[in-house]
Amino acid sequence: MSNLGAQSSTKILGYSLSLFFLGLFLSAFSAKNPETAELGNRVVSEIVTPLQSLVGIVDRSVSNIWDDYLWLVRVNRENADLKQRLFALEAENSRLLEFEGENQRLRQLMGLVQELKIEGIAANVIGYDPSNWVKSVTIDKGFINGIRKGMSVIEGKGVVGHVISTSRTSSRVLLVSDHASSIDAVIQRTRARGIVEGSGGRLARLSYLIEKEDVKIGDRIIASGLDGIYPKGLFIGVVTNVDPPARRLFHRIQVQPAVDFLKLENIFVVTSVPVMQVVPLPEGLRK
Amino acid sequence: MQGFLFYIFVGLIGLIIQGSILKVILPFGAIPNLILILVVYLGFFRQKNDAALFAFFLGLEYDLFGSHLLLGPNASAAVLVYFLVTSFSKRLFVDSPFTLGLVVLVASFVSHGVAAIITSQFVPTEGLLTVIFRYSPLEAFASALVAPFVFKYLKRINVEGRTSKSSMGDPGWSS
Repeated sequence: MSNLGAQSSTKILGYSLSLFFLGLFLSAFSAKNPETAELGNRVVSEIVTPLQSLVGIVDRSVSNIWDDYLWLVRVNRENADLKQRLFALEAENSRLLEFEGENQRLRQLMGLVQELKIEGIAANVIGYDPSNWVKSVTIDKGFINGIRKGMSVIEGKGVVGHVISTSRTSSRVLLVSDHASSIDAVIQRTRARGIVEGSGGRLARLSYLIEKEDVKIGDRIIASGLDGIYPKGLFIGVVTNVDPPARRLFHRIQVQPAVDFLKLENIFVVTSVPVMQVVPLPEGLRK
Repeated sequence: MQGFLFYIFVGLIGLIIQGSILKVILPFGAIPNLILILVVYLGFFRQKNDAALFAFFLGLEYDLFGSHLLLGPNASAAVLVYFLVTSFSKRLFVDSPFTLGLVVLVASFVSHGVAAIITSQFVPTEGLLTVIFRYSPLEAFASALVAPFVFKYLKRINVEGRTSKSSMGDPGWSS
């Protein structure tokens, strides 16, 4: 099918080999200098963020129109005369429901924020990582908004993840479900400590919980606050499966994260956590 | 230059679609790798030196766009896939959607394998390999299913003159 000559083929082989090794060199270089990869990510984020935001808006609009259409078909069957009116009403209703949903999510978020006495910045999710290797999302706030690497990110229902890179107007958040994510956590009922680790899938796991600790399906897992990233008391998820440690030191525990990572819209980046105050001992108790 | 910009732009759009709409509507992480399909397309229809460079930059774009810690593994993988497809293209009937799907399926596994091996040489991959093994087949099959449609679309925009015939290269099977 191809008239690719031997000479041309050899040339392409030469080029391809050179570029292959250039890729290897780049990999080695960026492994030694992680800031290179970060800088590259930042530049691409700057270019792509406006486009991503636009796609996000179009995506939401199309889905709203689709919902409106489905509703209209149902209403049509019931009363054809009221078709036009109902369409208008439904469009309005859908818009209001959208506002109500957003309002509810923000209220939930604000409730959590007030309860934990934390400060932060609200942001919107504008995209997901295109590959399946890494579970991350892009948000529409960057370092000009005060977002910094390492800040924790929450949603009304619980922990989302933490910021791994920032550009001027956008940031990337590593989700709790990513294989490289880990949170120091406690079981709310028993106060037993463990580490919640992402599995790369929808579920996470609670590791390093020793055999003698009591854990049941349905137990709530919360952040211990000891890792210095996630504020203490944040809801991480619920235990969905416990594999008793037969000849093992630790339990094998599956955790369903509190947040549905595919339905993320409004999130909250925690910029400051209340500092635990050290209360001085009374005079009489001091040595 | 026009051809280069065309592929980079199409790649960027592909990545945005992959990371937004497709991620939300497709279940179980079965997201087609549009960059890989573009590289296979290059392998079939642009057998020139500069196409290897295009493939390299498309892979690099994938590295840059994702949250990958390294720059380069996907670039190397894309160049390798490009070279393999170019080498075998004369023995393949590319107009058959089945063959096309099969090529993209194999290319997807090769690409994942190479990128995973390179990544594991430079950064700790504990847990990452499990993720790759879990999602590779899904991604490969999704890419294979989507590839014939993407090829059709790419050929159409080529014929319609969005990029000149010379910049897209001679398919090579007419003679």
